[in-house]
Parts: sequence; C-alpha cells; structure tokens
Amino acid sequence: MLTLINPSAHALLESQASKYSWLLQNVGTVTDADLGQHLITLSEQGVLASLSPGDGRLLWRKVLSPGARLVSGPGVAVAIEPARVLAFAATNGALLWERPAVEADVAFTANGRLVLTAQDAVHVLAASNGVVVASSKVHVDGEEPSEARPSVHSAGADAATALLAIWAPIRRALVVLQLDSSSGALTQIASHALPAKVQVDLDPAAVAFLAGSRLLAVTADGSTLCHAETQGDAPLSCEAQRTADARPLSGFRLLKVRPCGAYPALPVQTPDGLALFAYQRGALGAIAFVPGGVGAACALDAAGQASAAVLVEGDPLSGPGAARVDFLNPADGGHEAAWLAARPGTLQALRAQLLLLKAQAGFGSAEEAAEVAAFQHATDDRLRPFRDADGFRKQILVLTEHGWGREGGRGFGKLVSLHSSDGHVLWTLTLPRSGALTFRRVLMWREPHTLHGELEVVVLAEGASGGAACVVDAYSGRLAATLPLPGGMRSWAPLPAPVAEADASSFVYLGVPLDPAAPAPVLAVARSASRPNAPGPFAKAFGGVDVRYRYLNPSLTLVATGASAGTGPGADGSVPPLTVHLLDGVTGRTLWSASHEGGRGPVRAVVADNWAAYHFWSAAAGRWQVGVVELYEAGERRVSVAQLALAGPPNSTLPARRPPALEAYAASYHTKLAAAALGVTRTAHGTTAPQLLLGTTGGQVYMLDRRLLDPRRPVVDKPTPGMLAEGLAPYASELPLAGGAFATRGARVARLADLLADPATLESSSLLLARGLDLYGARLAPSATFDQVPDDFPYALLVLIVLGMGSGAAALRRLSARRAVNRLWE
Amino acid sequence: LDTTFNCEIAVNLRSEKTDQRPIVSHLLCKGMAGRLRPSLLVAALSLLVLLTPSTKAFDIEGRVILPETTPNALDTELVLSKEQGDEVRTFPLPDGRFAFHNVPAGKHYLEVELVGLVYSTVELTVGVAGDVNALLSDVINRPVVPYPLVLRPIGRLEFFQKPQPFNVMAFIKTPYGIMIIFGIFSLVVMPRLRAYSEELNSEETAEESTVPPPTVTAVASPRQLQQRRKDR
Repeated sequence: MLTLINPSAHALLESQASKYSWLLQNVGTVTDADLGQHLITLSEQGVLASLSPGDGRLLWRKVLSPGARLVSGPGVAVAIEPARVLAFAATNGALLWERPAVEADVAFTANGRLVLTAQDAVHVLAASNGVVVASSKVHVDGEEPSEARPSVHSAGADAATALLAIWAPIRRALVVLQLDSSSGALTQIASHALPAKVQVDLDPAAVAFLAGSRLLAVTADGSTLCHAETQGDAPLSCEAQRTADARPLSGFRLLKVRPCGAYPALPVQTPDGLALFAYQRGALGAIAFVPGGVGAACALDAAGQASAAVLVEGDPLSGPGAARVDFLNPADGGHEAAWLAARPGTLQALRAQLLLLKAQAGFGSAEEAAEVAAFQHATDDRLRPFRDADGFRKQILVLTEHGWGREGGRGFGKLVSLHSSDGHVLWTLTLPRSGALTFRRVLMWREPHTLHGELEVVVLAEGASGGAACVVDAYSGRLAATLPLPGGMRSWAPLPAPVAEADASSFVYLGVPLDPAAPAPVLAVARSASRPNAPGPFAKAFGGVDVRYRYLNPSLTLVATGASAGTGPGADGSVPPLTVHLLDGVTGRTLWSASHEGGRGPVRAVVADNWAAYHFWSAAAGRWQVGVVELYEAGERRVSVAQLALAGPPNSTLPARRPPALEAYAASYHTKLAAAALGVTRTAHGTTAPQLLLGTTGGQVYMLDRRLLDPRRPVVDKPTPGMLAEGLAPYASELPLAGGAFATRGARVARLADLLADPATLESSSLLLARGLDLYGARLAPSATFDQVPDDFPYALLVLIVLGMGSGAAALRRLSARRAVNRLWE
Repeated sequence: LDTTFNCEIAVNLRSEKTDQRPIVSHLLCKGMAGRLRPSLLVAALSLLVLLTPSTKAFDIEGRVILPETTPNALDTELVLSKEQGDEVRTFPLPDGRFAFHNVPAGKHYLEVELVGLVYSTVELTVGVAGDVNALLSDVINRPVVPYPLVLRPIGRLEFFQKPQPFNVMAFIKTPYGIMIIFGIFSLVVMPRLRAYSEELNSEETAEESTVPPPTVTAVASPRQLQQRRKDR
C-alpha cells in the first residue's frame, strides 16, 4: 500500500487538543444494570459499559449489537447477543472468551460457574475461560422437542445447582428443572400449570426467578403476569397488570430481576415507558411508573451494598438530528447574568491561584486539584454562554429520542442545547408527546437580521399519515409554536437561500414525497453544502494563466443509484453499475453523470461550490474509492487573468432555463478509509481552501486536502511549470494517510453517522460536530490560523523585550549623559 | 416423473458447520402421496438437496499483533464485511487471538480498527469446503497471507506534533528573536557608534586645545629671539 506521510498543516500539540476539541461518550438508554464491585450497564443501543459507582465516570465501554442482554458474575460481565455470548473482564473490559450461541440465556451459579442455555441444550462453563465443563440436552417428558431455549437462574438448592424453566406447550405448564453444574444432570422439580382463564400462552423467554424461591412469567401478549413458588406443582397465579393509576398494561416484557436492597426490584418494559415493580412478601406492587426514557439501577451505600432502587436518566445525547446556532448577544441578557453571578469572587480567585501554585510545586491534594479545576472551568472565557467576536462560542442543539417510548412507534423527543466549547448542557426542552410520530430533524426556522432578535429552530416530527413541526426559541429553549405537517414525505429539503423579511430571514423547506416506483435503488442524495453568501472563489486559473469560471450553482444535487452491498446478480445475470448524477435542483436537468462498473453501496456523498465527492465500494478492485467531479463554465466565458482583473466578478445569477455549457473534470482515487459520513469544512467567506471531511466507520474524522482530490491531477512523472504554478500534484491512485490529518486525533466517535461543519466568524476556522452514539466537537483550521495569534505566542517574552528595551534605552541615555558631563569636566 | 411437483416442502436449513447439508424436515404433496413412488421421492430429495444453495458456514480464526506499547489495545475491534452485505464485529482476546463464527463461503474483507495503528485490509476467500485463502488487498501485488491469519500493523499514526526542543538559531529567526537582536543592537552597538563619534569630536577638540591660540602674549619679542639663538 502506498502510504504517504504528508506533512500536515494541522499540526497540534497533544496539550492543545483538549483546548480545541471535546468528546462526549454515551452509554445509551440503560436497559440493564448489575451491581457488584463495578456498576456494569447495558443499553438499548448495545453498549456494555462499566461506570464508577461514585460519580458515574465511564471506566470502559464495548459497543455491541443493539438488543444485547447482560448477566454479570464475580469479575465477569457476560453479554448475550442474538447469535453469540461474550464474556468481558469487569475490571478493564478485556474479552475473556466468546462462544456462538443462538438465543441463549445465561446465569451464574454460586460456585462461580456459568450455565448457558441455547436452543435445546444446556452447558456448564468455567466463567473465566469459557471451557465447557458439562453439557446436557433439555427434554420434558411428554413434550415434542422444542428449540425454545429455557430460562435459567442460579437459585438452586445449593451452590452447584441452577434452575431452568421451560414452557411445555402441550400440557400448558411451566416446567422447572434443576441442573447439577458438576455433572450436567437435569431433574424436574416442579410443573406449574397455566390457569384456563388465561387464554394466551406464556412467553418462554419471559421467565424470571426471584430470590425468594418464586418465579415470574409473562404471557406472550404481555398483558398478564404470573407467579408461583419454585418448588411443587401448584398452578400459576396470574393477574392482569395495571399501572399505578389503574390503567391496564399490555405488551410489556420482563427485563431482568435484580436484587436491590430488601426487596428485589423488577423492571418491566412497557410501550408507555418503564414500570418498576418491587416484589414484597409474595405480592407485586408498582413502586414507580415513569413514562419517559429512564433506566433503572441501584445505589451503593458506603459499604458497597445495594441499598435502594433509584432511577437513572439514560438519555443519550445523540439523536436523529442536530444543528448549530448562535448564542444570544451578551447585551440582551440571557445566560450572561447567571454566568457572571456564578463567577468566583476575588478571595476565591486568590485562593485558587495559591492552590495552583501549590499543585505546581507538587504539594497539592486531589481535592485541591479539583477545586482548581472548578475555578478554571468557572472562569474559562471559552465557556461563556454568549457570543464572542470570533464566532467560536455557539449552541449545539441535539435532538434526542427516548428508547423506552420508541417501541410501538411512539416517540418522545428532547431538544438539548450544548455549548460548542466543551459540550456541557445549557438547557433541555422535553418536546410534547406526539402519538405515532417520531422526532427526526432539527432545522433552522427564523434567523434575525440583528443581534437582538429571536433565533428560532424547528423540530420535525414525522409519521406516515402526517407530522408536526415544533418551533423553539433557540436562546431560551421555549416552545414557541406547534404546526401540522402533511404526511407521506420522504424528507424535507431546504431552499438554497432563506426568505428575507423585515427583521429576520425565514427558512423554507420543500417536502420530498415518497416515490415507491423509483427505477433503481437510490443509494445517496447530497445537496450543496455551500453557503449562498459565501460560495468561494468564482474562478480558477488553470496552469496559472488560463482562467475559468466555476459553475457555482447552489442547487447542485448529487444522486447515486445502483446496487447496495451484498446485491446478487439480477435475472439477466448482471449487477447494475453504480451511477452518479449531478443535477440542477431547479430544473432537474442532468449536468453530468458517470457509471462505475462494479461499484456498490453504501455511497456517501457531499457537494460544495462547483465540486462533488462520493465514496463507494468497488467490488471489482476490492477497495474503497472516492470519486470527485468539478464543473466549470465552458465557451465564451473563458477569460484571461487580465480580463478578469479589468472586468471583475461575473454576475452570480445563473439562468436556469438557459444554462451555460459546462466542462466537467472527474477522477477517482483509492482510499483505505471506509466512510460512514462525508462532509466539507465551511468558512465565513469561503475563501479558505475547503477540506473534505471523511468520517470513518471506525469513528474517526479524516481531513482530506482538496488539492489531493483535484480531478485534474495529471498522470506524469515530472510536474510541468504550469502544474507547479497551479500547485497540481501528479496523479497517484492512493490517497495519502497522515496521522496529523485526523480531526479527531486519538478520539473515537462510536457509531459515527453524521458530520456537521459550520463557519466561525474568523475566516480561518470551521467548527466540526461529529455525531453518532457519541458527540465530538472540534475547532478546525483548514489552512492554518492565518488570522489568529498562535496559542504559543510568547506574550510574556514580548512584554519582557519591550520593557527591557525601554529600560535599557533609559539607562543608556542616563549613562550617556553622565559620560558627557564627565568629559566636560575633564 | 409422471406427476407434477405440487408439493409444499419445508426445509429446515441450519447454518452451523456441523450440519453440512440442509435437513428436509417434512415433504407434503397435496393429493399425490399415493402416486409418488419411493424411488422418485429419493430422487426428488436428492435433486432438491443438490439444487439448494449451500449454507455451509465456517470459523475464521487468526491473531492480531498488538505492540506492547499500544496504550489502547483493549479498544481493538475486528470488522468482517461479508459478501452478503452484512458486517460482523468482534474483539480480540488479550493475546490477540480472534475468531469469527459461522462465516459462509464467499469473498469477505477483514479490517482491524485500532486508533493509532494501521493494518492492511485482508481479502478472505472462503471455499465451499472451508478452505480459506487470504491476501492483503490494499498492498501492491496483493501478497498472500498464510492461514490461520496473523495480522501485523504496517504503520503507526502520529496524531500530534512532537514538542521541539529549544533551538537558539530557530528562535533568532523568529520575530521575537529579531526584536531581541535589534534591541541589543540598539542598546549596545548604536550607543557605541555615537560614543565613538563623540570621542572623535572630543579628541579633535583636545588636539585643537593643545595648540595654543595665537595670542599676542605668545609672540616672542626680538630680545627673546636673540636669547634663544644664544642658547642654541
């Protein structure tokens, strides 16, 4: 592989990284948690994490498949995925062993062994290395062999036994088996018949054992909860479940039973949210019903024992939509007063400075270091909650979606405002519940012309039959209005420019209807990311002399069609090629198109100014490729540098019905990076050379210099003078890979899905937000910080030099005068 | 066959490698069970088994080499992009060993994801008999990788600029160095130039002062001139 280590213009010291970037790591919406020496959580998004019980700090994290389940034992956290079981060390998250198992259930016995049931078999494993100690087939007399896996629990008669429950459909009973973990022998100890009044069978997977020798089961429709003593053949006692306000429950399922304090807490998942039950003296009582996105966990007391059930808000700050907006003007109040009130006083500042000196001398304690850090946080100018002259301080509005309410198509949404400097939360708005709608996007709505007007965003809730738009005041987080939306829309596309009104600009969005009769699967659609008021340079000098006008069409749209990954040959034995079209978004006219034989999806694309780039998989080459195309106006509008200097810029209004003739230049390159998202840096005036942002599937963001993607890179060995004048590098099929060009540096954004780049006020800077399961924010300088004083500017040295020169001049003048007087006396 | 296959065939396909062939669980022919001879049934079943796409699945095993100095080795992930379009992720054991289970025959691509290290993409061709051919797909000439796989890093990415030690010459070339040099020149050399001119002026003045001005008192009288001649 050709690996060019490119001397990067983005060189940054490690100590500077935290100053310009931040990473919020999420664990997702917690669905399960286990307490021991460590707090292990598993989320709906499939994130297995270890948290510090004291402060919730993330110790380690593994991103697994969504829908995984968690069982933890002494020093081991076992994650159960649909097709495999993985065991991790609880201390550091290292993988201990892995085993394929379909629809498995797992429990630890008291002697530290692991009982694993999968399909019709049960295995006893050593928890530390996964070695199988004993195995046995599960069979109930009088029943057909079933592949429904038994539920397993460790509450056996002694430390070496475990209990298994299996649903017997012929006799309509729940059969309990006892497993000897040493020999693998199974013994039936109970059979609980389901009462005839319960018409629906039990869900074989929804069986749980309680510590008090009782078991619980839920019917397949999730309406009835049954329980019985583990031993004996008494029939099940079944009750239809109701909420605390007597509403009937249906469709809930058991999550996990966790002993927590004196009574075991039983969280059940319902369509409306989470209901948390306590099992007390053989009866079930609802102790909490929370209709929102919450998870359940237990609190640890000082002795490390679980003492109380608490509700933990498991609301990941990464959702389906995000936008970056300005802060309120400091003169208009807002968060300014609160921030000033929270500033430490003079005595506190003096104390913090003394503690800082003490810490630098190596005598500071951890508490004092925390106090210094809190002081620095409270006085850091980067964290002020209002606008700055350089445009670095902004709000990031993130739309979240609660996992608990998502099943059944019901959606709750939260709009959270984060500070762009470090990602801390400024305000949170819980959006109104909207039935079968799902909140998907947050967009600009109204932007004031002055610094004092109200800035509004709109949150779109979409559904099959209609939707709603929630207009929110971005400064305060207040819900301003709710508007109805028509249904049947695939997406909402913004007009290239907002509509100017008297005191503000309103953004207009066009609904793109669903089109089920599309001739070929659309793999990607990308619209121009350029700002209409900052389109960048309007011309380019080929070879340094031949000036061409760029085709700057704000409605430029890229559409890629073809076969996605894994698509087999069609009826004619062929696979459709990947076809990329550049369209005029106003007239629909095809401006350019190309086909890539062997090209496959997924396709990621970005359009900016007069160029577009798209990333795809080449099955023919077995490599990832990046295609790039540039459009220029051809014909009479080709001018020389002298003409351009005399004539000035062209009229930027393009005739949609009589478009100019175009020249297109296209090329493709191999890259090692698999893209999950593409983006482009944007600056205030568009004059800074843009960089292609490539978000990798591994969670990193790579900045690719546009010059390396120039489709006119010639295939020559030695560059010509014209190439040197223009700065064109000879063509190389492999794009370079340099560590300094990773915008994320050593950070990793789990499940990276979207890149958002916005300009700062300073032309050199662009603000990046990488969004996935995590959030990553950074300040980028695509062409270095040419309009800023560098961070390492030695202010002290400058002052020292000036003072030294001043005092030296004064001293010398005095000496000179004295010497002259002495001479006169001689 | 003197009959048409108006049969409802339920085939229980297993994807585990232990089940080499699909298992036909039952065969139900509507109204024709009596007319279908056993030999034809066997032939039909054989044909069905032969025509059914193979669902053999195998394990892919290997070891990823993690340098001892890698601080985030526990964050290593391996991604297998299957020919069928889906993607499977797994983690290596602390000693680097890894395995992907139930991988069907076909051409797949394996990548190692670890921030800071670069590994080659491995193209895996899994045969219907379970044979595995591996080659590095993004290396010139695509060299073959022996199986079981041993994946070694081919490069390390440095994300940060290393702090440079203090360099006097580099500092002098900076604006601050130039300011300091100019300051020294202004403070030390310039006054000396001025002092030299003053000294020159003062010396000239001193020389001029040693020559007495032609005053009247200095002019010798005729008697004094005669006395000087006598003395000589």
